[in-house]
Amino acid sequence: MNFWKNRPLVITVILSIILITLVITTANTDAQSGPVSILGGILKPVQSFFYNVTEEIGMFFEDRENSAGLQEQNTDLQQQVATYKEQLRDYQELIAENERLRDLLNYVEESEYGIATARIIGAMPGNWYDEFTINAGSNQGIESGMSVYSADGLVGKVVYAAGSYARVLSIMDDSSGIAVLVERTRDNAVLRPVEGSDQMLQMYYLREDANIVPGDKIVTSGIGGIYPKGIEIGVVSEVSTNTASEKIVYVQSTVDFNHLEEVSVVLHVYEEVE
Amino acid sequence: MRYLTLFGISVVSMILTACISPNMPIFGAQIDYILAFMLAMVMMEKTMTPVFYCSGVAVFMDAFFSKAFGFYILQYLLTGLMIYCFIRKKNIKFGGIIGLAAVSWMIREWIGVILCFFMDAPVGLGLRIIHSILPGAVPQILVSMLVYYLIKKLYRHRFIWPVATFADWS
Repeated sequence: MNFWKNRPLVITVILSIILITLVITTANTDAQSGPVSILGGILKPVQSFFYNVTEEIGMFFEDRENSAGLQEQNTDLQQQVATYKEQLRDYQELIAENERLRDLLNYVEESEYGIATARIIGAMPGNWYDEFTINAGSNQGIESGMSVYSADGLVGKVVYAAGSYARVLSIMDDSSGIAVLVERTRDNAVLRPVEGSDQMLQMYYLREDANIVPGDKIVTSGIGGIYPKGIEIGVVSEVSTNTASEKIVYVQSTVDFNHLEEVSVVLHVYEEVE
Repeated sequence: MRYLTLFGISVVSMILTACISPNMPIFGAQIDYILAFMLAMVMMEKTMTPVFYCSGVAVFMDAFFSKAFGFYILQYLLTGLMIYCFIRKKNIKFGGIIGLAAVSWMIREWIGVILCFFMDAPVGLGLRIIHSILPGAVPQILVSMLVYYLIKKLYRHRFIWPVATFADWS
């Protein structure tokens, strides 16, 4: 076969070379803006529609599977609601007191930065990275590097913001590493996802004598920038010791990443510290 | 009419792959419908045209999801090229779709892994093989067989064939 006479082959090879160059040059940069952002904007309504429809279908089947335990769950939840109502009254009193004291100290709260609420409209096809797309972008003030959380806790950070949509890298992505604090003992550590797990993370660089027990709440420490301090990440689910007497601590994320629908974005980029 | 149909099939397969598959996996695997349609059409007409159409619609996936522009297009373009080079002179029967679907699925995954490396965001290869490449192959083969059956029915109509190829085929 004469290669140069086969036009489709020649076109494919030339296209491949151009695309490989594009992949290398545009990787992890904002060079995708402009025309690419417009193309993404075209797909956004289609993506949003089908994502919502398929999510509803998925949830319908899941609900049918779980209907057996619903009655029991309902009773439990009603009891919990009664307890929470009581706690809420106490909290409201504490919040009011806290506000008064802050005013007194001229305390500048970090959440003075605005919050943008967005809906998840897509997940990355092919499971390449734990990334998802939200229906708010730079038009809503969202920028790359902003932290994202849900009502249950920390979700991730914005890695790319186009005009009307943005991509968020989940804390469950293999590349993720978060500086954390054990809320009760104030011990510092780094949290990384357990490979292949949907919701489990492991603690690293924890002090050997750290008094940590299952049930301890883990929050962001704010060290290293990226994430603001104090956002809940998860709860310690297992503590064990290996042969080198190092502590192995597993943390269950409080966020159910498989059923995440809405998220909030802190409209402020916390500077990353090397 | 032929080009409109090819474009329509490519867009539908892109919607299935990008919008529906991540939310509705089959046996835990995200099916690549673009790959299944591309394979079936290349097997039928033995030209690169379906590859260009299927790679073309992947532009939207690159714009919406990818860390780097070209990540998805290249996966389909290079996989399609390899399928085309392999089967262009061969007469492959229905059973051949099993092997070809599995091989094309793995080639596309490997190209993706290599591109991730170029993008300076490598994915865990071992984990990828265990959690995606191997378990995804079986559902991908099943879907590819179904798609091939449908595409074969479509190619019974004269309008879908490239003129010269239809003369050879009939």
